[in-house]
Amino acid sequence: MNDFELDRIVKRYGQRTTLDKISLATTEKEFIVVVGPSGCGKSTLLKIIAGLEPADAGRVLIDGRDVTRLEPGDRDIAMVFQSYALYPHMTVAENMGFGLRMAGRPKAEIREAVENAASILQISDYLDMRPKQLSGGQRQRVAIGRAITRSPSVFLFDEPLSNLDAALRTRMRIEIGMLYRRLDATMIYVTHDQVEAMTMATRIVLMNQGGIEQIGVPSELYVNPVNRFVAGFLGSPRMNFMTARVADVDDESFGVSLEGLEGVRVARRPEARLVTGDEITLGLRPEDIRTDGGGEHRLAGQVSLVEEPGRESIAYIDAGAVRASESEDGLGHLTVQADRRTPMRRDDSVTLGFDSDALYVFDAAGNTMTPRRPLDTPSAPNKAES
Amino acid sequence: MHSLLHRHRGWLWPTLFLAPGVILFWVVIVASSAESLRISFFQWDGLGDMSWVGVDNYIALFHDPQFYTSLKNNIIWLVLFMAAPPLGLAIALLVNQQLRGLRLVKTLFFMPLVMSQVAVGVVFTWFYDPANGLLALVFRAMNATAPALLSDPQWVTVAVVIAGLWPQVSFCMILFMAGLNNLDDSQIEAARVDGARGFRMLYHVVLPQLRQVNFIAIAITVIGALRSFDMVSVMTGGGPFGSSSVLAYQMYEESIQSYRFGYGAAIAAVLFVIMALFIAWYLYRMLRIERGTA
Repeated sequence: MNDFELDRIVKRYGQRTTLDKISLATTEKEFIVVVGPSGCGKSTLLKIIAGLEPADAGRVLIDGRDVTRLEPGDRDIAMVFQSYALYPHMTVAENMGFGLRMAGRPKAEIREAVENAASILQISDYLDMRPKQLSGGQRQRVAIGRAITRSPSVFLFDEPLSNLDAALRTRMRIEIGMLYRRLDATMIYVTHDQVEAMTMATRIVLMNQGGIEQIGVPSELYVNPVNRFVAGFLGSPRMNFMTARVADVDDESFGVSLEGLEGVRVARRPEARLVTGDEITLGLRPEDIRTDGGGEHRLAGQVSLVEEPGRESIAYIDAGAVRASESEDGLGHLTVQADRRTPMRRDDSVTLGFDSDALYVFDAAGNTMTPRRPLDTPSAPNKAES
Repeated sequence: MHSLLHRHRGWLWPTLFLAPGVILFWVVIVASSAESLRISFFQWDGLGDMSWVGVDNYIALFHDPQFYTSLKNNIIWLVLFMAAPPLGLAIALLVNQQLRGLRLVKTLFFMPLVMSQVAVGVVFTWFYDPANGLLALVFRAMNATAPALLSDPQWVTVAVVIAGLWPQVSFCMILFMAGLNNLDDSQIEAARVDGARGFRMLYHVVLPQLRQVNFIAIAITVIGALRSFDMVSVMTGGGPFGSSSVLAYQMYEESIQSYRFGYGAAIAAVLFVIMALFIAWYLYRMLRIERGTA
C-alpha cells in the first residue's frame, strides 16, 4: 500500500492551469523534496496536500485513505510554515500542544507529547516563553515541534529554512534530516533551494510551470537529467549550454557542428530522432571542463572573471566563437569550475579541455539525446540504508 | 539665515510641526476644561457678573432628582452600548467572506456612519412614530397597537439608545473589518492544520489577534455612550419630563437654555470625573493584560 499518493491533481486559477495532473506515490516513508523555480506550483501543491486549498480534480491519499475532501485537521498531516506561523499569544508549550488540545486529548497526554517533542528539538528550556522572546532558529524549532507533537503520518514543510541565516540553515537542514530518520513518517518538503533538495531528499520532484519535469533520487536527476530544464536547474554553477547543429547521424552517434569546435562526435540514444541540420543544444557542466591541458577536445580562451568562493574557483571564460547561451554573466562566456590549485587570473590565456562523454545533447524540444550514464555515486541516502 | 536653520533643525522642525496641535489641545481642551471647572464654583447667567458660591452648585446637583435620572440613563446607555462591539464583530465576520454581492452589503452596513447623527435621530423618530411609522405598520400587521416609545418614560431611553447603536455598530464593524484584513493568514492555516475550526478558531486564534482592535472598539463605545447628546437632543429633547435626559444633555439644558452656567459646569465636571475614572481603570486593566502577555 502506498503511504502517500497524489492522483492526477489539477488546479486552475481562472483560465490558467497552475497544476496539471500531478501524480506521485511513495511506499516507504520517503523524504520527498519538491523543488522548482518560483511560480512552478510547488507551494500550491503543498497547500492542496494539506487541504488548505481545494483541488479542481484528482485525489490525495494518505495511508490508503482518500482525504481529498477532508479538512486539514482530519488528514493526519502536520505542516511547518515558512513564516513559522506560531500563535503569538500562546506559550511555546501551548503552541506545540494546540493540535492535540483541539483533538480533545487529555492534558497529561498533551504534556507528555509536548515534553517529548521539546527534548528531541532541545527546546525544553523555552516551554514557558512566548514566540516573541525567541530567535528565528528557536521559533523554527517550535514550529517543527508543533508538527512533531501531533505525530502525523505526513509532515509538510513549506520552505521552512528560507528565513534563516546561512549557518543556521545548514544546521537546521541536518537536524531535519536526522529528525526524518528518527520519525516514522513521510516528509514532503517544498523548497526553491537546490542544495536542500540535493542533500535532504530520498527522491526529488522537480517541477516547472505546473508540471513535473522529473522524479528521482538526487544523483539520478543530476547525472541523468531528462531534459534541458532539469539539467539547467540542478547544479551550481549552472551547466553551460551552447547552440549547435547536427552534422551527421549514424546508428550509435552523431556529429556536432559548432563554430570554433571541430570533430566532436557524441553517442546517441537509440530512440533519439535526429536529422542532419537539426538545431541542438550542447550541455557541459562547469566541473567537466578541464584547465590542465587534458581532454579530448581543446578550446583556447581568455579569463574574464574569477570568483573564489573557497573550496574551488569559478572562472568565466571568453572562448572566442564558442559562446554559451543563457550564460551566467550574460556575455556568452563559459563557466568553468576549477580546482583551487590551478590558479587563474583575469586576462590569463587558458586552454579548456573536455571529453565527448561529458557532453549532454538536447534536441529542439529540450529532451536529452545522449545515453543514460551510470551513477558513479551510490543512490542518495535513504531510510533503508541508514 | 540658512545656516541658522540648519544648525537648529534638530528641534526646530519638530517644534514647528507639533505647535498647531499642541496649541489647539491646550486652548480647546485643557484651558477650556480648567475654565469650566472654575465656573462651576460660581453662580453665573452667562452674561452678567459672576458670584462665588463655593461648592453650592455641587450640593444642589446632588439633591437634584433630575441629576439621578440623567445618571441612570447614562448607565443604561453604557450597558446597552456594550452590544456594539460584539454586534460589529459578528457583522464583520459575516461580511468578511469571498462572496458575490458582499461589497453592496458592506456598503449598506457602512451607511449610518456617513449619515449625520441628526439624520439618524430623525429617521428613527419617524420609525417609532405610533401613527405612521414603520414600527406602527409592523404592529398593525400583527393586529396590535404600536406603543408610543418616545412618549413612554419607561422605554424612551432604550428606544433612543437603539437609534444610537445603529451607527455605533457600523463603526465597530469597520474597525473589526480592518482588523480581520490584517489577520496573519498563515496562523489561520496553521490552526486549520491543527484542527481548529468554527467557534474554536474564532476564540483561540482570531480573537487574540484582534485584541488591539477590540480595545479601541470598547474604549470608543464607552466614550460614545457617556457623551451621548445628539440623539437625545434630536429625538426627545430629554423628554418626556426629563425622563430621557443624560448628563451631557442636562448640562446643555441648564447652561444654554436656563442660563445657569455654574450649575451646568458642575454637571460637566462630574461627567468628566466619571469618564476619567472609567478610562483610567480601563487603560490600567489593558496595560496589565499587555504586560502579562508581553
